[in-house]
Amino acid sequence: MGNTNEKEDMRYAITLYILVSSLLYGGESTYRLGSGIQVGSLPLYAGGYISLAYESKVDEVSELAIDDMALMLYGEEDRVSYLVEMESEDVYRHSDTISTNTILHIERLYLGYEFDDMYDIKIGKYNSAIGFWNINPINVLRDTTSSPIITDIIFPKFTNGLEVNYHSQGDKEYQISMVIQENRDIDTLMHDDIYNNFNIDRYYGIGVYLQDESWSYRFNGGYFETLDDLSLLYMVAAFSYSDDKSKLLGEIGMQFGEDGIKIPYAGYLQYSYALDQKHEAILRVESYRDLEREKRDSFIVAGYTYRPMAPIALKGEYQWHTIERENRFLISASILF
Amino acid sequence: MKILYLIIISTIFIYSEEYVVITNQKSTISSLTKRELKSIYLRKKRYYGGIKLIPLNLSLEDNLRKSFQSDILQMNFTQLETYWMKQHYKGHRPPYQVKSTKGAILFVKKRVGALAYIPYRYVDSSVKVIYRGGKP
Repeated sequence: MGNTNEKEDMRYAITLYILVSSLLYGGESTYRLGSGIQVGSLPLYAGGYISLAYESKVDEVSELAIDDMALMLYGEEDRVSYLVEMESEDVYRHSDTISTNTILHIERLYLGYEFDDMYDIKIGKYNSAIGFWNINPINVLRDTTSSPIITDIIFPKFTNGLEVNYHSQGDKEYQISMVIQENRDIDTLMHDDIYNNFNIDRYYGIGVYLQDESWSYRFNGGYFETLDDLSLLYMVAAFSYSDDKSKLLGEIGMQFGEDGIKIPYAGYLQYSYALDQKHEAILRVESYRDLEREKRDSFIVAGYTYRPMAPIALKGEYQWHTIERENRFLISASILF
Repeated sequence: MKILYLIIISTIFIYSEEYVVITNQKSTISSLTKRELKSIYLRKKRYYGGIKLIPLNLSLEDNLRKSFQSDILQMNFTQLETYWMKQHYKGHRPPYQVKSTKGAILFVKKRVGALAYIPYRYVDSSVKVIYRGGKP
C-alpha cells in the first residue's frame, strides 16, 4: 500500500515538474492568463485549471476542498492534433477530517486528424460531445459551481474510442458526430477503479448539432454497456439562445434499460444575465426522476458569478430542493491558466 | 486639453481607417465574405482548396485589430476572451500573432495559406487583396 502511495506521489511530482519546466521554458514572450503557454518553440502548449469549492448542506458538516486540479499539454502539427490532460480530484478536502489525494487520472488523452474542413476524426479519451454543459465541464468555464444532474446520470461523460465528425459548409452550420467505443476507460490502464464516468466497455453514439445565428440545438442518442452487464440507451435534446446580455439554455434527457425506462426525464432550463462584463446572475430550474434509484427531485439554483478577469471565476449559489435535506450553499474560486 | 482632443481625433481616424485582408499571391482564394472571414478568424474554417489557412492577428493593443474584430467578428473583448478560453480547454489556439503590419505582410508573402488584415495604404502587388473593410 505504501509502495502504491509512493508511486502516486512520484507520478504527481513528475507531472508537476513537467508543467513548471514548461512554464519556465515558455516560448512566448508574453503570457496571458487563461491561454496557456508554448513549450519552447515546440508545437506544444501547457495549461491547466484549479478549482476551490466550499459546500454547506443541511444537517451535514461543511466542506472546503480543492476539488479539481488539472494539467494539460496539447498542440497541433499540420493536420494532426494531440492533447493530454491529467487530473487530480479532491487534492485537499477539509470537512470533519482533513484528507489529501495525489492520485492522477487520465482525464483526456487523444489524437485528432483533420482531412479537411468537412471531416475529422479523433481517437483516445475525450469529453462526450453531448448537450452544452458536458462540452465545457470544468468549473471555471461553467456558469455555476454545480453541474446539472443530467450530466451525471444519463450518458457517459467521457468516450474512449473513435469519433468521426462531419461539418457542413453551407450558410447554416451543422455537424454530425459518431462515436464508437469497444474498450474500457483509458484511465483504468493506470487505476483499477473507474474515475468520473460510467464503468462501460462498449458505447455507440450519434449527435447532430445545428447553429443558426443566436440559436443552437444539439441532439444526441446512444447505446452503452456497463461492466455489470447493463445495456442502456439514452437520448438528449438541448438548445441555447444568446444575445449580448442574456443566455437561455435547456437540456432534457432520458435513459432506457432492457426492461424499460430507467430515467423518464432529467433536465434543466437556465437563464443567465450579464449585468456587465464581470458580473452575471444565473437562475436554473432542474428536475429529474430516477426509477432505478427511486429518486425524484426538482430544484431551483440561484447563482451569481464575478469574474475579475475572464479566466478567474468567483461563484456563489444556493439550491432549493423538494428533498429538503438536499438544500445547499456553494461558493467556489476557479482559475484557468 | 488640446493633446486630449488630438488623441481622441487621431483614435477616431485610426479606427475608421480602411483596411484590407490580404493573402499570398499563389493562393486560390479570390475573395472572402465577412461570414467566411469570421469563421476563419475563429478557427472554425481551417482549409481552403486543401491548403491549411493561417490567419494572422496584430497585437492585442493594436487599433486596427480592435477595428477588425468589431467589424468582422462582432464580438466584444470579453466574449472573444471567453471563446478562446473554451478553445484553449479544447486544445485549439487563436490565430498566430505578429508584431507589426510589415511582419504580417512578410509572413503572407512566405506562406500560401496565410491571411492578414492591413491598412489599405500598405497594399502592393506582392500580395492579393481578398476583402475590403473599414471606412474609405
